[in-house]
Amino acid sequence: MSVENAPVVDVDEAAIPVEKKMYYRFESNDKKEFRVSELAIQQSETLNRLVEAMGYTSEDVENKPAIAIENIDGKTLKLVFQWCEHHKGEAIPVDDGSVPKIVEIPEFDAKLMDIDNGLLFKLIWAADYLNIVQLLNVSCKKVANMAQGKTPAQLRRVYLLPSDEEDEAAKRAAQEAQDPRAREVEEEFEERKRQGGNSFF
Amino acid sequence: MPDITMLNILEKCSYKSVLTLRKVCHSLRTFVDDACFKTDLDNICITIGPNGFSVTCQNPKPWINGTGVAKDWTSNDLKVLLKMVQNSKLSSFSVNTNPDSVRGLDDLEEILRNQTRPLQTERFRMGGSKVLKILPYLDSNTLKKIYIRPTNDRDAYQNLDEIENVMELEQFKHAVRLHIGYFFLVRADLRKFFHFQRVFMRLYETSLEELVALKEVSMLTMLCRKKSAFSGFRGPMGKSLVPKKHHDPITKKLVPTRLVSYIKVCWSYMGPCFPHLGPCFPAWNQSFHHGTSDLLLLLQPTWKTSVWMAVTWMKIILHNCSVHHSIILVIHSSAGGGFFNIEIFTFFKISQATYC
Repeated sequence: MSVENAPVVDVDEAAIPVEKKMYYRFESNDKKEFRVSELAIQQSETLNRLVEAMGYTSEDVENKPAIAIENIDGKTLKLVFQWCEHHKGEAIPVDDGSVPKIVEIPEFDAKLMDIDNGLLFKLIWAADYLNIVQLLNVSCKKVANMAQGKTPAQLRRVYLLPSDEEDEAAKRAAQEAQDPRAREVEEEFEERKRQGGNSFF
Repeated sequence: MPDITMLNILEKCSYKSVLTLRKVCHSLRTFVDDACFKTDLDNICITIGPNGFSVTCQNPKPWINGTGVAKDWTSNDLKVLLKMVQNSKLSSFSVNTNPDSVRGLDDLEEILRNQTRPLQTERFRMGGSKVLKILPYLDSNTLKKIYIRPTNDRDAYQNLDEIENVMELEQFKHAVRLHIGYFFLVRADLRKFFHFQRVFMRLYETSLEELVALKEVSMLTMLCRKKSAFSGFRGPMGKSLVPKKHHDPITKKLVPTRLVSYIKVCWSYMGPCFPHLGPCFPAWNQSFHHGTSDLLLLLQPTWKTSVWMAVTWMKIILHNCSVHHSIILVIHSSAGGGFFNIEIFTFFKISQATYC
């Protein structure tokens, strides 16, 4: 995908000062390209260190290939960069050991995370991988809120977790791979997982 | 999901959710049990009953999140809960024992002993005399306030078991407040309680040397006085119990409370009512409170009144009461304002032989 056609993350042009700001280009594992401001990148410790180490100039950013993020897909990366752009310039929370960690989910974040469980799982994974502390906090809080007031059976459905019986059945099936019936059980379980997407735990 | 992320999620779950998550599957149960994470649990009250443990839990906002109540818990259930909070700091940890369920207390002691780290709580409340079963397993650096009360305060005065051993504990030495319920009789050296900022207890007997030492401590406290002698007196809802203006005990003039710079010393007398003694205290601010069986006479001299002068009053009282009546002497010295707020609140008994 060319730079011109890249899905540029929403940026408030009016808010950009007159002096030239640096925008980095990143590419997801499915070859989608994003332009992200330098300030937004600071929310991610991993990316911030990476661009610092690369020492790109404005010309380098345009002339050299986009920085590849191999293990995050475009859909997830778009959410990540949208979050970073919205929260650019904000202080990065430091874990001061306060108990309990009080995390409020802002309205923007709540709307951003109004997504299916599979994508939310990928978002958490990406926030962890890119070391975006506050995004990880709010997304984990969202998952924690999903458990509020639920029974174990409901939690299994919410988090797409197998019960102990299903777990044991899967293990038996693995052990008795030659047994056609056991294989059926395993296939049935795998099918359920496929339908449900990723599980949280 | 990486373990760090899992921990992040668990730390943001309410304690109720974590307990439910444990029941979802084996792998999650194992993870929760092995993980070191902080919970939002703030207050735990364990009542040992004949059929197991009753547990009441609260987080810092019980008016929003409610109170968790569980009945007939086994020691295994309790173990899970206490293991979960071993990385958290509680505001309050209460244990109510039952004389008929000694085994329950032993089980609780066993659980606390096997914790990887001492339970961190700012306040410890014990219903019962077996303090040594619990107190040694609390974190001495976190514990600030100790409250001990009898399981049954309808009976006659009870002895507080093994108080000498309790006094040797680091938890006791580091705490700043101690409240031992009125129906417990403490047989110990008063001087070992001087490190507390505030003490409430009933001593069986005190020697003259101990009283002299107490006087010295009280005088030292008075030297630390600041503008307001009343700061720190708070009633329900944090409302100050101190009026903006009050009558000076000596001049009888209405003065703003903030400008008062004296220490309040209260001498309380518990015994039968002596109406004829009333005229003996014309210059004293007197008030009467009906207790369970006795009458409390509260005297509030100013700090300028020497301790020995108050002892003279005590002699008068003792002279008028029968041999069998005990005297409770209360000294309440308070210096507040600024960064100083030192209080000594000591109840002790004077045997008649000492002063008559």
